[in-house]
Amino acid sequence: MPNLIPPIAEAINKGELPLGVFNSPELFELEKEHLFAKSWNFLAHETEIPNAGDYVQRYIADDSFIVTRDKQNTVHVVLNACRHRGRKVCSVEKGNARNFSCPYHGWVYDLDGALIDIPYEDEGYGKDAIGHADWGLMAAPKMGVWRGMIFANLDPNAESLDDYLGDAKWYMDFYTNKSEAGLEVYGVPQRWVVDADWKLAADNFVGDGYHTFITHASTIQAGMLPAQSGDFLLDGVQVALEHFGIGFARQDPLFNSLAYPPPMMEAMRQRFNPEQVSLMDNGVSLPTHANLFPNLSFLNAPGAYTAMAPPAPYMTFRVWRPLAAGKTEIWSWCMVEKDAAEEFKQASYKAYLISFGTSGTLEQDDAENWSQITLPAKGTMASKLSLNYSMGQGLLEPMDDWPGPGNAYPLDFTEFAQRAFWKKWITTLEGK
Amino acid sequence: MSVTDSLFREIEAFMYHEAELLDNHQHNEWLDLWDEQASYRMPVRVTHTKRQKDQEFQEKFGHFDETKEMLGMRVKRLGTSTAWAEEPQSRTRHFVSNLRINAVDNGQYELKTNLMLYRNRLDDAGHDLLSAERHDVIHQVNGEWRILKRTIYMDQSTLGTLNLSIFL
Repeated sequence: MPNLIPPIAEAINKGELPLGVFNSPELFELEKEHLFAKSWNFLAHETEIPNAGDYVQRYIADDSFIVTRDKQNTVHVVLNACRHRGRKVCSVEKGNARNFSCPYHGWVYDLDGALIDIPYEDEGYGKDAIGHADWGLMAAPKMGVWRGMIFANLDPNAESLDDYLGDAKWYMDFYTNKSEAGLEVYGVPQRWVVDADWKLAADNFVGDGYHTFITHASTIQAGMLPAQSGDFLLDGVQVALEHFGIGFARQDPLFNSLAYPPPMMEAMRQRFNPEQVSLMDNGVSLPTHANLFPNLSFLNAPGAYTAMAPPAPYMTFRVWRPLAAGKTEIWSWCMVEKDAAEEFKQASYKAYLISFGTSGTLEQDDAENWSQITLPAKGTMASKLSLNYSMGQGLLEPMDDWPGPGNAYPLDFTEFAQRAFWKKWITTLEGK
Repeated sequence: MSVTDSLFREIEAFMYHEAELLDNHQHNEWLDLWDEQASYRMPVRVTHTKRQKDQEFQEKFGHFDETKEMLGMRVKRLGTSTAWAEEPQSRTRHFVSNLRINAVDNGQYELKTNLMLYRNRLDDAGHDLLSAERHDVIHQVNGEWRILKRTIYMDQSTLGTLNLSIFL
């Protein structure tokens, strides 16, 4: 194990973190090999490929995959590299195809990755000399679908997606199980590149209720964040699981329903289990921010975009795709309830746009912070700077009347979920 | 339908004036150039095969999809002291060129312009370059040109800038 891990592990155990972790080429290489190649990575939502032949190109760090739906309606995740010379057989982001044909020498693969044709095969290789079954596009070693969310894992020995999600499902229900029809992707994911480390984004979404009052102050002043003050997460609840963290706002008139209209709230009550419903009746909002280790974040919140209509709830899934040390490609999906009225979807989309995504005003200030941390983090002195991660340590005890799994704390201005994230991060790099 | 030379020059000058207001961070004055019913859109572009190129621009999903009211909220935010993405402000230069004008009914004019946007921030020697074609509809209200509609077709599917805290 490289020498750089033990001092970082020691710092994390004390509730500290060296700034250098946010811009380290050595750590980035370790992350690719020991973390992203062994984690469940979110790639796409089933509603992005609704019809036979539909496909999207997606990434796990540097690896490109094609996520396809075949004629039998089965979803596949295959490595986007021809078995002859490795050329990408899919050069576009999205489309519909009968099969994938390599432009270099014309090897043709079916939607499930099976090799179906080698031009001049008999002449060049000899009849039946190549076992087609052995030379299809490589399937991702593991794939799994939960609530329409398609994940893949590059580790053939990984536990199943369902086992990995585990107790996080109890909380992810709040995002994904609001209606009978479930979620759909509105439009396509927005993609853009920021000079910021992926871990800063995950760290923010997993448990940073604290930053909103200052980072997002302008959005309250200008009206897109419909909160009375910026500390709306102060006396909320933060839950820390080993691989998942989530935050709830306090019960206040603007935030308790996240602006979901009463009929949708009623529908949720019918779908959630009694313990989940009890949260809605007992002092907290629907959950807002969350992160599933390593780099899939969730946000559900109200946004205001017009004085002519009430604020609307929006939901975003996002993947912080690592490109290099200190460089991240953000993928941001706008999710809506599939069976909601078109007016609701429109309102939700507008609330999302003005708040998150490429032009989102809250997103803008977040990325600015993260890049202003990432750039100095490679400094010789700065990289060794010890950051304080102690908020709530020794101050708060887990709530004993919380109905959900994990440790819940009666404040979202705390850093339990962030400390859990960093513990999971370092133990994953250690191979534990 | 073509327009007279003098009208062409007048509309061209209006486009340059608009770009100057943005580069000078005169956002309130810039907002005044927009019609009350204005729409400001930047559809998300998705790389498709040539055969499926007609699906390239998302009709109903954008990077921007703004009413004038939403533009106003964004401008109001930029006027606060805590809009950190623009504190300090981006240095931008809007290079507007290749103006094409089609007169349509009721005094409305359809314009196409090419935009090259240079963006620099902080003490970084580098820059972001964003290239786009803009389709505008403008008309006159009480003798003043106003923008009714703008659709920005970016020459990137993955945007190479850290955010859109600027206008194009």
